[in-house]
Amino acid sequence: MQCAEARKRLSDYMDGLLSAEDAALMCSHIAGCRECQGAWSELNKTVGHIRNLEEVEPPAWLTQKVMARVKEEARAEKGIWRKLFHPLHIKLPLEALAAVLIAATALYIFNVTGGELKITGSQPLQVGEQSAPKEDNAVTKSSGTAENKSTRESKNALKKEPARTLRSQVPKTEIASEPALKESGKSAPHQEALASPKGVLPGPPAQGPSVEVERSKAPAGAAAGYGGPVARDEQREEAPMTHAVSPSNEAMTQGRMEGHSMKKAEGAFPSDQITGKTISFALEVDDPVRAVKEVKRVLAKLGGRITATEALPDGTAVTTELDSQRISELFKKLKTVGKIRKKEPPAALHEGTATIKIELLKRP
Amino acid sequence: MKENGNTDAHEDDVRCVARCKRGDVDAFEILVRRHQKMMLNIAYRMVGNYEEACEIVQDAFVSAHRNIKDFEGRSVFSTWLSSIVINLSRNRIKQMTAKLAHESFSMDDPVATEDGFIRIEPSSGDPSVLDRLEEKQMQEKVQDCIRKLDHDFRAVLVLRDIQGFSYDEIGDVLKLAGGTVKSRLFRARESVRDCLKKALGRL
Repeated sequence: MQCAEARKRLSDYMDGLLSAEDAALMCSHIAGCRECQGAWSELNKTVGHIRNLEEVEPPAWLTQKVMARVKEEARAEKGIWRKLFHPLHIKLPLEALAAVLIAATALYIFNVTGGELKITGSQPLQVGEQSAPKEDNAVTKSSGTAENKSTRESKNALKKEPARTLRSQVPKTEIASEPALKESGKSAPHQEALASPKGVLPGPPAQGPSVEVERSKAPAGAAAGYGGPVARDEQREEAPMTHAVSPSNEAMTQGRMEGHSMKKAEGAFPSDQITGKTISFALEVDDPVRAVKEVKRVLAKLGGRITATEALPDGTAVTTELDSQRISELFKKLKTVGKIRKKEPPAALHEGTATIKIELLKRP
Repeated sequence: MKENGNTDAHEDDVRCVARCKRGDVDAFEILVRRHQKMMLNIAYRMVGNYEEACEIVQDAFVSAHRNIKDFEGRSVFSTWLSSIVINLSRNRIKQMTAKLAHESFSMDDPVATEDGFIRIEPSSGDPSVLDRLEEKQMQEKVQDCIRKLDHDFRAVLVLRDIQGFSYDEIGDVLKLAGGTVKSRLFRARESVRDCLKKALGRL
């Protein structure tokens, strides 16, 4: 055995970990090597000193203190348990009843407002992609102005309903008005209803309504179109839908009327569509190309992010995402770019970012 | 203790643990009385301070009681408890080291308590007292050298050379492979040897 190896294994040797053979080798090496002997001696003394360290005695109070803490914790645990559940025959039933009531209330609330919740969710909501604060959605998209007027009244009448949820029950019974149902409806089933509205459409607000209808039709089925105003609860619409087409149309109308649209009643924007979070402007301009540049500049200033640019037969459409709070500012600036086919800027739909489509159409 | 493992004591521990799991607090007290000295000495040699060691031991027992449900009765209770003590000691060492950085702080030697060490008065001329003093001073130096070890090496040394744990037991307590235990022990012993040589001039 060499010194280097011997030194490394002295510790193991001391603890009896070497095989008999290796131990013998170690022993004879140490006997014959002064340095290793010295190292072995030092190791022994060191460990000897360590092993000689005296033990300390625990203080008399240690056990008591430990047990006091242990018992305290045990008591605390029991205490909570007791407080919550004893006496069992009184508290358990009470707590069970409370839990049931809470669950029932939650269910009730959900059922009653259910549609609204769903709407904001996943569906390809057309009409109404309502963002949370439905109140803000100006339904109005409604049919033409004339229609708006007529509906406006009814809307106003209904307007102040406190709980939207109530409206869902209201629709069928209340509204009488005809109005154009242009609802694009929220989903396929509504399609039919949509179709009928066409027939039902009052003549006068011709331009508007028909345009709208077209628009609403254009995007596949329900989508697109109207949006907002008719912030309808899915529920509201669904309910109507279950009836025959006409009644459902009416119902839809009703629903529409009731819509939070109130606010927007005045803003009839034939060319505006507020579909959930998407707003469209149409601008008549002399030079669409130049107009596009200006619009982009305006958007940059307002912090809008351009997400798409689309060529139209008679112009260009620019889609952007902009903070909803800045929509009215945008509107003002767009007025300097071209003639907006609209009377008023839409009120802020909701908080957050809105998608805005600006169509720049060559003045005819 | 531990090299032979007292089977009777171990069996008794197993019975006590079973009772503890059923909520028998008195059974736990038996365990406390049986193991407190060993745990205190482990803690004391780890942190070098008697009062801190007492705190650690209390915390360790309370923690053990709280988690007794998770302890499998067939394992060795003292091994499990030692793990808790070593971990708490490690944390305390870290705190104390951090504190040292900010204050001038010297870890105390054992404080005289009713049942603890008694400090020998240096002025006495009695030879046995002088021997005692020398021995005492020696022990302090050894403790200082141990204290200089990193806590991973310190733990192995304390468990092996002070408490007499087997390599397997040390492996269980510290969750280390046998080879690691050996190499750490080797290096710990060498470090203490070098430290003592420096402090004493010779061993």
